[in-house]
Formats: sequence, structure tokens, C-alpha cells
Amino acid sequence: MATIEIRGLTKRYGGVLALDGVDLDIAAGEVHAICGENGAGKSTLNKILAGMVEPTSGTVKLDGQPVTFGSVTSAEAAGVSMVHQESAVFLSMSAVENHQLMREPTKLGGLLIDRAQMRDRTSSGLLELGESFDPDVPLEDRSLAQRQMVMVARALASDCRLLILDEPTASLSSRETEALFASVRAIRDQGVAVMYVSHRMDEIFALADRVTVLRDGRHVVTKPIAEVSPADLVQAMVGRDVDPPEMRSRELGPVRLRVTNLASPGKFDNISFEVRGGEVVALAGLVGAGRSEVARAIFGIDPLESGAVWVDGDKIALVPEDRQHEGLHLPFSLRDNMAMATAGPGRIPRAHEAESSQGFMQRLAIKAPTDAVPAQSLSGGNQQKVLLGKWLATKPNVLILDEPTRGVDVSAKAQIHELIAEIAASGVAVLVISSELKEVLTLGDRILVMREGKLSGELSRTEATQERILDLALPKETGPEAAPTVSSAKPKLRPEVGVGGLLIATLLLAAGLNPQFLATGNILDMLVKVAPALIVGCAMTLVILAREIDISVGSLMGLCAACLGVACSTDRMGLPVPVGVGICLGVGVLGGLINGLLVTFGRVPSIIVTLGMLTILRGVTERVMGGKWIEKLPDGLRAFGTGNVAGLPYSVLMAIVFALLTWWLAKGTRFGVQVFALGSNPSAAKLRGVPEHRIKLCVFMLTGLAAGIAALFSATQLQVIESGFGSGFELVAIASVIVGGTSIQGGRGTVLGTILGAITLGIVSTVLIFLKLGDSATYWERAIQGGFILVAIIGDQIWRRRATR
Amino acid sequence: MKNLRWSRELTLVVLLLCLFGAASILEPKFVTMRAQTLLATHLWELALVAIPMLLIVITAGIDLSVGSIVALSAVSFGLMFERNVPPVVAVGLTVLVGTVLGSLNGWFVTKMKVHPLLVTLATLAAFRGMAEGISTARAISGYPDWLLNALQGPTPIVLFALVATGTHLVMTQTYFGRWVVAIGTEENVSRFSRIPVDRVKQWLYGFSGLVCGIAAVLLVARNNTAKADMATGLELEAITAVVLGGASIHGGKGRVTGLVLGLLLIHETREFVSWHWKQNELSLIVIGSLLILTVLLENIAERRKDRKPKVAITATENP
Repeated sequence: MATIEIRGLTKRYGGVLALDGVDLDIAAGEVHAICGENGAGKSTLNKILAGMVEPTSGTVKLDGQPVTFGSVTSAEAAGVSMVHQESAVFLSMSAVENHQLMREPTKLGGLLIDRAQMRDRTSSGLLELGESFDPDVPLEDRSLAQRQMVMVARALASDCRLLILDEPTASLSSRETEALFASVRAIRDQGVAVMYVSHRMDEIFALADRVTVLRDGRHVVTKPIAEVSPADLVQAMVGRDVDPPEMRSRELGPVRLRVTNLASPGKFDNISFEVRGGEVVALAGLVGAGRSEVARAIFGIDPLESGAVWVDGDKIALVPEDRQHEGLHLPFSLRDNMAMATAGPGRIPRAHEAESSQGFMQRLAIKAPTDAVPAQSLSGGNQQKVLLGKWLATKPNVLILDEPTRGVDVSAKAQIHELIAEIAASGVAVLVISSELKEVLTLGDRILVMREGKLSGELSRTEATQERILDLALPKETGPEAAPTVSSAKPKLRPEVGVGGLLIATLLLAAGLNPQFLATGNILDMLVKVAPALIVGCAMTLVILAREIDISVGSLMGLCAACLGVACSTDRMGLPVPVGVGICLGVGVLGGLINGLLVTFGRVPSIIVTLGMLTILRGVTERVMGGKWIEKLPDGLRAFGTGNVAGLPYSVLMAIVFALLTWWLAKGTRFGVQVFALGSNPSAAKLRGVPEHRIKLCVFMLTGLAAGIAALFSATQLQVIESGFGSGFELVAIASVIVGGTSIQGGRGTVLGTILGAITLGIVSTVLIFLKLGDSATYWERAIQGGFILVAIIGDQIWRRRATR
Repeated sequence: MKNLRWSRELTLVVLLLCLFGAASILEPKFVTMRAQTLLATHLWELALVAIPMLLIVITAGIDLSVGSIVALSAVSFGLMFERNVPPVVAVGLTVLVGTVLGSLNGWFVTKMKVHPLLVTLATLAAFRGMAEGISTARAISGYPDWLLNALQGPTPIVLFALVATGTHLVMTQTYFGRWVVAIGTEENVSRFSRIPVDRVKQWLYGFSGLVCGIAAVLLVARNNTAKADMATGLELEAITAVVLGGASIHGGKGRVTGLVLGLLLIHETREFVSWHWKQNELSLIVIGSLLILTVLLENIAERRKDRKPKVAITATENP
């Protein structure tokens, strides 16, 4: 009985058929390999099964029951788990949080997530895979392989019937691959169906029981692994035989690239070699051996730490590995891209540019309607050719190519290989980095091999074989555990330590200048002033953690105060105090709701929404107040601002309550974990089924509520409410969050940091007045506060960069 | 544009025409040259400052400190004047002060690698505070008539026309302009393309400061006074104009033509609303809504377009 029965599965994207009537059965207790070229439909099949996209037509049956998955979470609930590629991890979050996101156990009747239990689950899951690292360290401090293992552990942890592994070994060492294979076999033997997507023939033959080949969205063949050979599979994938390109021998010119004793701590060491004109040198090695880093250093993207690089005429070009983030400006036209690296900054010679671009379109056989189409509309192979053209346009003497055929299909690959040979024949010194042994053997006149940051050997074309290269590339098994690519965890200071130190330093300084500053009365006065910033800052922390921003809080506070005053003032409407308070808080929440709706459903960037709201709310406030100050607030209302419980002012009490509330939300609830996930990696969060809209609506509404509360407790301290109330307050709130160590890019930060940040800023602003330095000092108050923020932020950045080194 | 596509510029032109149409019925006097010339005097500082802001936003940066740079430059101008520095020298030094302050932002952004939002948020507070400190929050007035006259009337218009045209040419005709867009599109790719990313950014923040210095001098001349609370909120108006003009806050997109139309729309809306309803606060509401609605409606239009099946222009590789 097949676990999974797929019948006539079809997916159409616009006019393109990504999957065309595929039939496939995967039985319980088998490892079923799926292979095919890029664009064959493998990833579409994965995505449908994992619930990421819905099929256009066709059925999927799981254990005989027809299923349709609306989302990843529902697929997981039905027993289908997928190990996503590396981009789906949350780097700023711990292994525990990555492992348990959306599955957090709770205690105390759901009030708190049970962190101890989460930790236990993660540790035991990792232990099954033979990993025993500290799961509380953020994943950015773990190696690629360890991150991958966390994802595998997560997929295995759910009670799954079908496990989908999509290129799971791309970043693993051979030992880690073996550990992974062992666990995959173990769960297969427990009766789980495993779908294994890979390009690597050796893995398919080592692991799979059956194999299916897809081509152009169609099912080509399914066979037991024993009945096929690697050559059969390649032919089924390509649909025809592929001839290896013929390599003509070339004349070698003078040395054009000379690298001497290049070193960079932690990346590579003692690298020396030469490349001559007309020569193609291949740089082989495993992923993470330091090859790309060497290329970047030679090209000059990374600063040269030690050693020397000499390039003939200084004309060097680098075709990087990642086309999207390093290679091409994808929205730009082909022509603009191919002129991007040429010269500048002056006038663009249009005619020359057009001519040059047309030339490359022909010479490189780039398939595109014209050279005016954006680069993103081309296939991977054609993009790679454009990238080649971009650098050939600079007429380089030395050309470095990093994985020139990654993500390119077989026929384009052959064309690119021929081009590389042609370029070398024209007298250019070529250095090719490739992880594919066949490519290394095809292209290289000479082959250099790197292992763990060092050159481990050199082979001539005649003496090179796959075995000899692998022998030089693989880490020696007798040695200690291979060094992880990312430096392993040195104990990291908590993020609040910086701002905490700052707070103590300012406090000591203030006390040193005038010991009276520490008197209880003064501290309380200071806290009363800080309370609104603290309340709004805490809520703002959640907004910024979710990678949004709200600059309308000051205006919203103004509106809340105006509504409160107009409702309660005996001059105006004279409504009872509780009604006024309700209106004030209600207006705050409503303002937050509008912000949230526009950001989530309207998809307008939050900085634009809240910039617009800042202006609008200011106008509405003036309307509400009718051009007059609000006076004569009833005593019952004034009590909010002036009353106290046992000497503790209400506003300070409220600030403490609100701080505890946000702290609990951020650290103790599923909601909080999801906020962090959204800020840390939005697309991965979506993939995991984090309810983005709901969470963002909540954080904006919470901030609106905070603005209402802050207005209630601070406006009632005043005799009169003016129309400018609250203006500029957004800066104080945001500054508190940032000084408190929360990252403006989301996903990192703490409520505690914000509390300390707000108090520190409060001390700085009150200390000057308190010191009674004379009248002129008061004029410098804002300058000193601003300078302090500047120093705190920049100090924080420098400190952080040191820490990540 | 050879083939007419629906662009932000077109949206803005339509909105402007609607506004003028409504105005010519409701307030015929508003649509006269005389009224327009009179109203236009308020526009130029904002218009000038918005141009470098556009370039910075295109690189995916932001400069929140422009209002504060204008204030600090204006106060410096006033203080120099009080200490009998020759007016022409004072003007030059004021522009220099602005440039230095802007370059300081650039230095923090490029050398210290601090996010521009944070840098300029901090300098917004710091520069404004310094303006208060050095002027002890006084208003400094009493400038000679010849200086005030020289800096009003056609001078701001000519300055704006020069800066706008120059920037437009740089953005459309030079590699530098293409680099600005390239940096905002994908900074890392730009570094890999050997574009001097940091130098370009340093230039832009310096340029922003320089223009703020010029705006400061014009602002002082128009009000015949220099005070530390001048130009408060200018940064928000400038960003509003930039975004309304079609630039993406995420960088990589924006044109001077769109900005000029955006400025014009903000200006005319504001003046018309306060002319007709005699209420300034209403214009705040209208401009804020205009900003959000323009982006919102374009988002909706784009989503509509995405729903229609697209013709794939992907060239297939297999013969």
C-alpha cells in the first residue's frame, strides 16, 4: 500500500506548465529519490506536497485519503514534513526556538511557554542525529551543517508519514552526511516514506530504494535503483546524450596573476600560486574550504589581511557565484548590466554601450528578445552569460569564475565551458572555482585543491583523476573534528549588558556631580518623566522586533490627549471621567488598528503609513481641539497624573505594569516567539505558518494602546493640553528602543534593554536641569541628549561588530 | 518615453489637473498667475531639500536630519551676521557648515557602518540641540534690505531650477546616476561591480548638507530672522514629496520628474485647501491621506495586474 499516491498532478504558473500530469507513488518505508534538471519540476512537486503552493489540478492521496493542504502547517499536521533549504532558518534565534517554533508547549494553563520542555525536546531530537551542541546559542553562531541538522531534527520531530529532503547535504561535510544518512535509514525502517531530492548521483545510489526522473514537468521514469546506472539517469534527465566539450590545447603566455602568501585568519592561510595568460587553472575543494574567500580577497572585495596579489595591468574580473546577490542587478536591463562594471562616473557613451552590448549578445549567444529586457526575465544559463559579458566588457587580463555553471542546465553548461576555453585562448588568465569534479577535470589545465583553508595540492591535467582530487579535498579523518565554518560559540554577553553599563555609568556620573541626585524624591520625579517613553518604548520594541516601525505614536498621543481633554474638560463636553478614559484608550487602539491594517492588508511600508498618519493625526488633533487649549480638567482626571499609591506615582506604577506585560508577551508567549521569527526571517516565518497579519495587527494595536495610556498619564500632569502635545515623542520612544540594543532590522532585542534605554535617556535629560549649571545650560539640554544618543548608537554598533568577529 | 506607460508621473499630472479643475470652479482667483506667484514663495526650501533626499532614498538610505541641519546652518548664519562677518562670506560659510554636517552623516553611514535611519535620527536631535545651544534659543533678526532682496524673488527659483535640472541630467545621463540606482537596487552586487559605493553615499549625504545650507540662507532671508526651531518637520515633508513622487522607500526607484510633480501637488493642495477652507489643519489631513492612498492604490493596481496571466518572456534553453 503506497503511502503517497499522486495522480495527474499539474501546476500552471501563468502560461508556463511547471508540472504536467505527474503520477507517482511513494511507499511507506522506502527512500524515493527524485532527480531532474533545473526547471524539471522537482521543487514545484515539493512545494505542492509540503503545502506551500496549491496544484492547478490532480490529486494527492495520503494513506488512501485524498488530501489538500492549504498551508505548511496543515501539511505538517497531516504528516508531511519538509526540510527546507538553508534560507529557511532564523539566524538570530536559538536552535530551540528554530526547532520548536509553532509547536511550543505551554504551562500554567497556556499562560507561559515551557522553555525547559522545549529545550529537552530539541536536545533529544539533535542527539538522535548525533549532535550534542548547546541548543540555546543563536543559529548564526553555529556552522551551516549544524543549522541543517536542526532543520532535519525539526522535520523528524513531528509525527511524520512522509519526509521530504530537498538537497539536504549541500552544506554538509562527508561525516555529517553519513550521520544524516544513518538517521534517514533509521526512520525509513520505522515505516516513514522519504522523498529525497538531489543532484548528487553518489548520494542517490547510496541511499535510495527507487528513483524517479522528471523532465520539463513530466514524469519520465521510475525504477528500482538496482536496475539503473548513473549514465541512464543522466540520459533520462537530459533526454539525449551529452558530448563533453573538446578542449584544444592552448599556448601559454606570461604570468598574469601572482598570489603570494595570502592569508586571512579563520578563512584561509598561506595561499601562493600563479596563473599564466591562456591558462585555465581550476580551484577544487569542498564547500567551505575557503575558495570563494580567496577569490574575493584576490579581487579586492574583502580587504587583504596579509600577503600580496599582483595582477597584470590591474585588470581583474570576478564572476561571482550568487547571481542574485553578487552578480547582476536583476531589475536592470541586459545592456545596463553589461556596462555596469566598465567605467564612470561621467557621461554614458550610449552609442558605444549599445554596440558593445549587441556584440556580446551575439558572441555569447544570449537568448533574449532584445538587450533592453530586465535580467530577471532570463533563465539561469542566460543570466550567467550576461554576467560573463559584464566582465568581458572590462577587457580583463585575469578572469576568476566562481561556480560558473551552478544552477545552469546541461546544454547551457556546455556552451559556457566552450566560452571559457575561448576566453583563455585569447590570452586571458582564467581561474575557475568549481565543486563539481567533472567540471574541474574538463576545464582545468592545472588543478589546485584546497582543504580547510590551505592549498593541499596541485595536479596537472594528465595526472588528475576524480579520486586524486577527492583525496586532497577531503578532511583527514584521523584529525580532530573538522573546524566548523562559523567560529563556534564563545560565550556571548547578553544584549542588555551594554545599555546596563551605560545606565550605571550615567547614574554614577550624575551622583558624582551631585549626590542629591540619588535622593528618592528625585529618582521618582525622573521616573515620572520617563514613564510615557517607557510605556510607548516597550510596545515599540515589539514593532521593531517584527521589522516594522511606527513614527506616528507622538501624533497619536496628541490626539488621545485632545480627545480625553475635550471629553472631560468642564469647559467642553464635561463627560464622566471613565467615559473620557475609554475614549482616550479607544482612540489609541483605533489609530494602531488603522496603521496595522494599512501595513498588513494594504501592504504599504510601515514607515510610509506612519509618516502619513503622523501628518493626518496632527491635523485631526487640531480639528478636535478647535484651535484652543484645553483647560479645566476635572480633579478626578488629574488624579491619573498626580496621584500615588504609597508614594509610588500612578504613572510609574502603570509603566511597571506595562513593561511586565510586554516583557511577558515577548519572552513568555508563542506570540512573542512569532514576533521574533517575523523580524528575523519574514519569508521563512511565512513558510512556517506564522500568522503575519494577525501578529502585526496586534503589535500596532498594542503600540496604539500604549500611546493612549501614555497620553492619559502624562497629559493629566499638565494644567493645560496644547495642540502640540506629544510632537517629537516618537523620536524619544524609538531612541529608547535603539539605545536599548534592539536592532532596527528586526528579530534581535529585548524589552529589558528598552526599559534601561528609556531610563538612561531620562537621567541624561534631567541631570542637566538638576545640576543647576545656570540658565545657559538648559539651552544645551537637547544637544547633549542628542549627542548622547549618537554616541550610544555608534558605540553599540562598534561593540557589536567587535563581538561578531 | 517612447511608449506611454502608466507611471507615477501620469497619476500626479491627473491629480494636479483635477485639483486645478476643481479650483477654477470653486476659487477662480486661485488659478491666476498673481496668486500662484504669491503662494510659491513658501515652496523653495522644501523643494531644494527634497532633491538630495530623493537621491538618498534611491540608495535605500534616508536623511531625517535635514530640518535640523537647516536650523543649525540658519542659526550659524545669524550668529556670524551678529558678529559682523561680511554677508557674502557668511553665506559661503553657512553653506560650508551645512556641507560639513551632511558629510558627518555620510561618514557615520559609510565608515562606521551605522544604518542611516539611526545616524540621522541621532543627528536630528543633536543638530537641533546644538542650534538651540549656540543661539540660546533667541531669534536673530535685523538683516540689511539689500541682502534680503537679493535672496528673494527669482533667486530661489533659479537655484531650484539649477539643482533640479543638474540632478536630472546626472541621474539620466551619467554613470554616477546609474550607480545611485544600482546601489539602491542591490548594494552587494554594486560592490561586486566595483562601484565605489561608499564614496557615492558620502557624496550624497554631503550634497544633502550643502543644499540644506543653501535652504537655510533662503529661509533666513524670507523670514528676516534665524531661530533654532526653524524648519521643524522639514524632513517629513521632504520624504512625503519623494515618496509621492514615485520613489520607493526600499531604494532603487525614483525620478526627479516625479519628485517635481509630487512637490507641486503637495504645494498646490496645501495652498488650495487653506485658501478655500481657511483651515491649515485640513491640509495636513489631505496631504497625509494623499501619501498613503497613492501607495495603497498603486499596490492594489499592481495586484490586479499580477492576477492576470502573464505572457512568459523567459527564453527557453532547449532547442
